[in-house]
Amino acid sequence: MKNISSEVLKKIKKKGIEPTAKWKFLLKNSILWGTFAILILVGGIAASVVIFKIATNDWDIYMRLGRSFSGFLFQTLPYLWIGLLIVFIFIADYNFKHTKKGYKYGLPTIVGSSILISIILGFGLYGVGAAKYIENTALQHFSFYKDRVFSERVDMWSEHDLGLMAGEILDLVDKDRVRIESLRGDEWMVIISDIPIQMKEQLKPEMIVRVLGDVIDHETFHATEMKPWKGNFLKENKNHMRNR
Amino acid sequence: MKRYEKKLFYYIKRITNSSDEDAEDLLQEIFIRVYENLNDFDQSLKFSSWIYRIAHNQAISHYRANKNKAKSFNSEDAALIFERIASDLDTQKDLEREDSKIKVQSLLKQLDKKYRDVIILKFLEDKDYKEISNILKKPMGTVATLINRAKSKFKDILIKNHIRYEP
Repeated sequence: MKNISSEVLKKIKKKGIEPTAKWKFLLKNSILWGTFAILILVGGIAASVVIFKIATNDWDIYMRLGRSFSGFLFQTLPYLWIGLLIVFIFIADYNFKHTKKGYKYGLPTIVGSSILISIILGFGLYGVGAAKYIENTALQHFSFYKDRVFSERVDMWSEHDLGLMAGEILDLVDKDRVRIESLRGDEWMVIISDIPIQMKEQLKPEMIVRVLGDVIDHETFHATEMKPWKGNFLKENKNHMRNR
Repeated sequence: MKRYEKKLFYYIKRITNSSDEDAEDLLQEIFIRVYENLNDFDQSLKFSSWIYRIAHNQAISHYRANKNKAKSFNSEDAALIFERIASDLDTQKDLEREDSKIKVQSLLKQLDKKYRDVIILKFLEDKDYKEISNILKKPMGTVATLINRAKSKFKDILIKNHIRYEP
């Protein structure tokens, strides 16, 4: 066996090899941790919107649509945001694995912790109203999101024959009637004599409402329930629907 | 360097199955890499784990670049592995006859690389689970699972090949 040590020392001297500076390792590690933190934050944002979408889903109408709870749940889950959450959790985990001590933890521990952190963060962001703001921003800036996600819900609330209607209150005609411009842009006289008094007291012009009831004729709708619109609603979305 | 020269030399040979000359060249590269990365040494690790990790990674890169597939153990290593696994499994062993040694040597070839890595570190380099975890950068639980699976695969191979195995 050769004298390896002296060979190595000779090579180091000859090639002028120096140990890599400590700051370079620190920088690399900080970048990994910083990226991990950003990915977890993005995962938290996605989780907050998932929570927001679930919280503002129309759970009160699935029976009207003749669907089971599970069927409605699977149809209306915010898959786009859930997908984003999963993607960011996996990128974060991959990133974490490459930190100095990341290898010490098994995949289930890392994935489980990331999901937990994202959900806790998601509830926090949802609690401070960030989720609503984020979804609103997505609706305003991404037409594919508006077309796909928002329009599906608008379509559902335009099923007047199924007793579903949503729109903006134009004016309160009298104590038993309001005029509503539906999401499709038609004007309806809505009879509200049968809705709870507490709800009647909340109604005001420009309010966006969801109405459950029955069509009486082509311009009259009888409301059995009337509730404020849940989640985000943009006036421009209404106009967009009108043009469809 | 003196302290790790021989240990790493044999470790490299075991995981790459390379010639003495190649192993020496690779060892030089490893020491240079260690020197370059001195400032990255993690004080929470044993120095030996850290240097073995670098040696392992460097050897694997070399092994990939040269497509020099490390498949076999030499007969002494094979006998040592057999003896240690057998003692770990609390079995009686019978490796007196030369043909049995050769048989075990060829049987060890059947093990996957992931099992070979842990078997070498556990039974030839005498590393404990924590050190193996730090060297291979795998969670301790995974290391334990791999060692247990390797032992049980080894046991199966022995039984299948009618090598005396008496639990």
